[in-house]
Amino acid sequence: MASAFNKEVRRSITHSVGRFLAIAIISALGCGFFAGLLMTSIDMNISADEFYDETNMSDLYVTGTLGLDDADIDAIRQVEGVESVAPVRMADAYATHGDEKYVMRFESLDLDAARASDTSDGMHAYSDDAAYINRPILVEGDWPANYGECVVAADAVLDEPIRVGDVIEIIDGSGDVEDTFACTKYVVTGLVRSPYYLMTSNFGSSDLGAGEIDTYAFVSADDFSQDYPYTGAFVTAAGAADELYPSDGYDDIVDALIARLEGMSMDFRVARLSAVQAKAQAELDDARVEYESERASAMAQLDDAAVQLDDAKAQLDDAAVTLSNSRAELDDAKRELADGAAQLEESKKLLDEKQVEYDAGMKEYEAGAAQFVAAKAEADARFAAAQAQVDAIPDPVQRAYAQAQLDEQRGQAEARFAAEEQKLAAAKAQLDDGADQLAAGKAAYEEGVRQAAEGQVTYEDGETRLATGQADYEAGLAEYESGLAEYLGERDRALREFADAKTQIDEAQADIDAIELPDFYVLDRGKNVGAAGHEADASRIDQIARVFPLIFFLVAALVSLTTMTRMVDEERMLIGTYKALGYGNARICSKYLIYALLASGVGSVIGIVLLSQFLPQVIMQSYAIIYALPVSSSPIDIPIALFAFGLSVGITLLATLFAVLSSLRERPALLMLPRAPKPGKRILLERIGPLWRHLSFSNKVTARNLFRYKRRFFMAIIGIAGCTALLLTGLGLRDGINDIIEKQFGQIQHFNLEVQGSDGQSPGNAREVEEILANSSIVTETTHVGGENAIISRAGVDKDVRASVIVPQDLEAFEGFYTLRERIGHAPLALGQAGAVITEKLADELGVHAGDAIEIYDQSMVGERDGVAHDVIVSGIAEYYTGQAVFMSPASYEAVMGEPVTFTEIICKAEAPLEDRTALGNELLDVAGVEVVSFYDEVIETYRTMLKTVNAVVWVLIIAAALLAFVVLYNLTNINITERTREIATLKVLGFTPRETNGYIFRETILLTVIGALVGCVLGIGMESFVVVTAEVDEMMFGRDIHLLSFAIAFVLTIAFSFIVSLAMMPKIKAINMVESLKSVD
Amino acid sequence: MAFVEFRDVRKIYQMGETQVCAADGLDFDIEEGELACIVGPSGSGKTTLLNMLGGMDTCTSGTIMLAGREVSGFSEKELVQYRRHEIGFVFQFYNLVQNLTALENVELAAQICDDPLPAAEALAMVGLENRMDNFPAQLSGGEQQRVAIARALAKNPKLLLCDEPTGALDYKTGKAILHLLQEASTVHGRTVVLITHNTAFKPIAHRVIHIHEGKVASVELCDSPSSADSIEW
Repeated sequence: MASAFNKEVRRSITHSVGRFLAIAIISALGCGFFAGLLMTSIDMNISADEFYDETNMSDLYVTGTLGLDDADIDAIRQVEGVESVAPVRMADAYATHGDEKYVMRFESLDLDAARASDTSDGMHAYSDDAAYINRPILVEGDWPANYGECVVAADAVLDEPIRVGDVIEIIDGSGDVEDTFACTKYVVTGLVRSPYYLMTSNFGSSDLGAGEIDTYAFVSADDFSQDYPYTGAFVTAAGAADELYPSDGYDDIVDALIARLEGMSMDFRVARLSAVQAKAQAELDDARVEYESERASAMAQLDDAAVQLDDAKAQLDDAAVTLSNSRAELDDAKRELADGAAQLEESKKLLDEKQVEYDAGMKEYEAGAAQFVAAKAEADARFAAAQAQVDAIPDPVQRAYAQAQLDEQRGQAEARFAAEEQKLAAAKAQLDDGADQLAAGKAAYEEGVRQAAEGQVTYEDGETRLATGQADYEAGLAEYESGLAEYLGERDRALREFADAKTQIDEAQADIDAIELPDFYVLDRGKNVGAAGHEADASRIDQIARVFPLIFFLVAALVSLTTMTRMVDEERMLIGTYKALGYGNARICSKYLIYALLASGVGSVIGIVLLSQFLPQVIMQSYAIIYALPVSSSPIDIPIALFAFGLSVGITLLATLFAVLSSLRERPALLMLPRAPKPGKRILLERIGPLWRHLSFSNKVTARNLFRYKRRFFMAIIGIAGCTALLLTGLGLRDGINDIIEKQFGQIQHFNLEVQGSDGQSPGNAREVEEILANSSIVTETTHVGGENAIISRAGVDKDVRASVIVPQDLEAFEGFYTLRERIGHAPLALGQAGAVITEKLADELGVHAGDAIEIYDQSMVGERDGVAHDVIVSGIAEYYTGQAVFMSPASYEAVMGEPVTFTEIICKAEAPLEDRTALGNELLDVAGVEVVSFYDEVIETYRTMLKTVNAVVWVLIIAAALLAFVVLYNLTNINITERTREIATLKVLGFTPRETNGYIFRETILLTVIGALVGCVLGIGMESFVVVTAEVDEMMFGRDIHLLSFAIAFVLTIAFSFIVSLAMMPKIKAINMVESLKSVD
Repeated sequence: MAFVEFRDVRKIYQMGETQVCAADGLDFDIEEGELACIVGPSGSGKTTLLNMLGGMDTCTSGTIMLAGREVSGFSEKELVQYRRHEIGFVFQFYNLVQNLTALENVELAAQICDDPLPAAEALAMVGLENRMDNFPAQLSGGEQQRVAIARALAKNPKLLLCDEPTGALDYKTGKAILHLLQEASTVHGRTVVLITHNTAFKPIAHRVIHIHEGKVASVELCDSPSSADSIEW
C-alpha cells in the first residue's frame, strides 16, 4: 500500500509539471548529447565494419615494386592465418570520357564471382566465394559480360559523371599503355560502390596527374596485357571479420599476420627479382639473336647492290668513249661538207661568169645576125629596086650594061654577104661550143650540189644518232648516281639502326643487370584512404563528444540546483511539518531525491533514446556525402548509455542533496516560520553615484536582484553563455570552412589555373604549352614552379605527413601568385637562400617552430617515405589552408636535395567564361606530356560540397543551443515569477500597467541574457577553436577566426530566444491575482 | 452625491457547481475627507468590498462610484489607471519591495503618478526622514508600514485604502499607525477607508460600516471621532 508520504511525493510531481520538465529536459539534453555523440563514433565504426564484413573487404593488401606472380600468390596462400587471397591487377591511366580527361584506376575483378554475387540490397554482397574479396556493390546497370566492358565508381565527384552506356578510352598511362592493357576502350555497363574506395573525394593516390585518382573502373583480368604481372594481392585474415574494425582484437589478429608476411618478405623479394630477371633475359637474348641475323642479311644485300652498281659504271664508261669517237667522225664529215660547199660556190661563180660571157656573145652574135639580115634585106631591096630600074631601062645595052654593072655589084654584095655570113656562122659555132661547155659545167655543178645535199643528210642523221646516244648515256649516268646515293643512304641507315639496336640491347642488358631487389609492402586498412579517413573522422567525433556535452552537464547541475532549492524553499513549512510529525531527515530528504531522480531519470532515458538515434543518424548521413558508405541502424550502446545516465542522474542528485541539506539542518520551529526575505543590499554599482542616480527604480531593482540571488545568476549566465557559445561554435565552424575558400583562394593563392607537365616532357612540348598560354586571350600572367610530393617528418617524431614541395623559378614573380605570410599579424615571409617556409598545419602536425629542422623524404609508390632524409631548417610558418606544403627557393632546394629542381609546372592567372576555359584546357591537354590542367573553380566546388556536412552539424548545434536557452530561461523566469508573485501583485495594486509589470520582471531576464551572451561570446571562442581543431581533417586547415557577423548572429539569436521565452511567460504574469498581495507571507 | 457610493453591489464567485455570494447587495456611501471604518468578522465580505473598491476586482452587478465616476463600469485598462491615480493602498504585510530603500519604495509609487508628493516629504510626513536610505529589512514592522503609508500618500490619491494596517504590528506600533491614518484624514483632508476586523478602531472613524454576510449590517456616524491615541484594545 502506498504510504501517504509516497502519495505526497507523487502529487508533488503532478502539481509542478513545469519544474519537473525543466529538470527532465536539461537532463535529456546533457545526457542525450553526451551519449549520442559518444555512440556516434561507435555507430560510425560499426556501420563501416558491417559494410566491410558484408563486402568481404581485404584486411591486407600485399604488393611489391615488381608486382607478384602465381608462385607468390601461392606462397601467400600458404601463410598461417591467411583466410583467402585474391590476386589483382591494377593500373592508373589517363582516360577520356567525352571531352573530359580523368586519372582512372583500372582494377581487375573476378567477373564470374561478381555475376554470381547478390548485391541487390545495396549494403551486402552475398557470395559463396571466400576468395572473392573487396566485393563491389552494383548500384546501377549490369556486370561486364564481354571483353572491353567495365563498371565504374558510382560516387565519383567528376565534372561530367560517367553513366551506364558511356565509353571511356585509355590514352596514356604511367607505363606503356600497350604493355599494360590489352584493351583500351571500354563500354560502361554498370556503376558500383567498392569498400576499398570509400572516400568519394579521394579514392587514393596516384603517380599520375594531381596525385589522386579521380575515379576507378573494374575490368576483367583479361583486359590487361598477358605479360602484365599481378600488381598485388588482397588478403583476408582468418578470424578478422569477427572482430570490430577498428578494435584491439582486430589489430591483434591482423598485426600477427602482417608480422608473418613481412618475415617472409626477403624470400618474396629475391624470388621475384630472379623471376623477373630470368624472363627479361630470355626476351633480350631472343632479341640479340634476331639482331645478329638481321644484321648479317642486311649486310649481304648491301654488298650485292655494290657489285651491281660497279658493273653499271663500267658500261657507262664504254658508252662514253663510243660517243666521243662518233663525235669526231661527225665533225670531219661536217668539215668536208663545208669544203664541198665552198668549191661548189666557186664553180657556180665560174659558171655564172661564163654564162654572162656567153650571153654577151650571143647578144653580139644576134645583133650581128640581125644587122646582117637587115643589111642583106636592104641590099636585096636595093638590088631589087636597082633591077627594077635596070629592067626599067629601056635600052637594053644600057640595060645590059646597067645589068652587068648591077650584076657585078650584086655579085660583090653577095660575096660580102657570104663572107659576112661565114663569119657569123663561125661566131655561131663558137657560141654553141661555149653553150655546150656551159651546159656541161652546169651539169657538173648540179651533180656537186646534189652530192653535197646527200652528204648533209648523212651528217645530220649521224648528228641525231649521236644526240640519242648522248641522252641515253646521261640517263644511264643519272640512274647510276641515284642508285649509288641510295645505296650509300641505305648503308648508313642500316649501320645506324644496327648501332642503335646494339645500344638498346646493351642498355636493356644493363637494365636487367640493374634491376634492384624489389620492395615488398604489406598494407593494412590504415593505409587505405577511405577506411583510415573514416576511422579518423569517427575518433574526431569521439573527442568532441568527450568535451562538448560538458556545458550541458554544467547547466544541468545548475538548473537542478536552483530548481530544487526553490522547491525546498517553497516547501519549507512542509519540511517543518514532516519534521514535527517525526519523519527522519533521510526520509524527508528522500522525497526530493526521488523527485530529482525521477525527473532526471525520465529525462535521461528519453534523451538517450532519442539522441542516440538522432545524432548518429544525422552525423552519419552528413558523412555519407564524403564516404560511399550505407548508413545502417545505430544500436544503443548499453555501457555508454548507463554511464551517461549515471552521470546525469548523479549530478542532479548531488545538486538536490546540496539544496535540501541546508534546509534540513534548521530546527523545525524555524522552518515553520516564513523564511526571512533575502535582505536588499547595496551593490557595487551604487558606489558609482552619477550612474546609479540616472537609473530608474525598475532598473535599480533589476540591478540589485541580479546580484541578490547568486546561484540563479550563475545558472542564468552559464546557461545562456553556453547557448551563445554553442551557436558561436556552429557558426564559427562554418566560418572556418568558408574561410578555407575565401582566404586560400582570395588572399593566399592568386592564381586559378595550374598546368603540370611530366618530368620527361620534351622541351618542344614545354614550349608549345608556353605558346598556347601566351597566345590565350584569357591567361594574363604565368610563372613556373617546380617540386614534387614528398613525405615530411621530424627527427624524433613518429609522424609522416604528405606535403608538396613547391619551388618557384622566379622568386619575385612568385609573390604575385602566392602570398606567404604569418596568419597572425600577416608579416610577409620571404624564401631565402637557405631554409624553407612550411604551412601552418604541417607545422602543427609535426610540432615544429621557426628555426627547427624538418626532414624531407621522397615518396614511394605506396605513399611511404623512401630513401634518405634531407634536413632543412624551417625559416617561417605560413598561413595556408588547403593541403600542406614546403616552399623553398631553387638555391635552397638544390642545397637540401642535392640536385637542381626541374620546373614542370606553370601556374597562371586566367579570367574567362567557362567555355573559354574548357577550350583552353582541352588545347593544353592535347600537348604530349601535359598531365594536369586544373582550374581552381573546380577545386573550390569540392570544398563547397564539404560545407554541406558541416551544415548538418551547425543545425544540430543551433537546435541544441535553442533548447538549452529555453530550458534555462524558462526556469529562470519561472522562478523569478513564482518567487515574486507577491511583489508583482503589489505592483499591480499600485497601478503598474501590464507593460510596466512585465518590464519589471523581464528586464532582469534580458539583462541576464545580454551578460550571458557576452560571456558566451568569449566562451564560444575557446569552444569553437577546440571543435575546429578537432574536426579538422589532416590535409586541411580550417579558418581560425570567427566572423563578426557570426558573433552578431549568435548574440542576436540568444536575445531572440530570450524574448520568445519572455513572450511565452507573459500570460503567467497576467494571471497573477492582485489578491495575492493581501495574503500573508507564507 | 456622496464621494464613494455603493449601490446594490453584488459579487458572485462561481466555484464549480455552486455559487458563492461574497457581496450580496452592498449599499453605502462615504463622504469626502472622512475616515471610514469598515468592520466585520472574517468571511463577512470585507476583502471582496476592498477588492472592488480598490479596482482589483469587478462587481457582478450594481454600481460603484468614486468622485462621480462609475468605477464598476471601468475596463481593465481604466482600472489600472484608476488604481494608479486615485487609490493609495496600505497592506497588512506592508508589501515593500525588499530591494529598494525606503525612499526608493516611495518613489516607486510616486514615479508613476501625475502629481505626486515629493518622496522625501511623504516620508517626513510619516516621521521617517532619518531612515530614508534604509532597506526594508533594516526597518521594524511599524517603520515598514509607515513607509507603506508614505508610499500610498505620495501618490496623492483620492482614496487611501487600508487593509488591516495594524494586523501584523504590536499594540503600540499599531496605535502609531492608526494615528498617522487619522492624521491623513483630519490634517490632510484625505478620504481614508480602514478595513479591519477589530471593532476597537470604531471611535476614531467618522463613519463605521458594519458588514455581515455580504451585506451592510449597520452604519454609525460620528462627527467628532476620538483620537487614535485614546483608544484601547
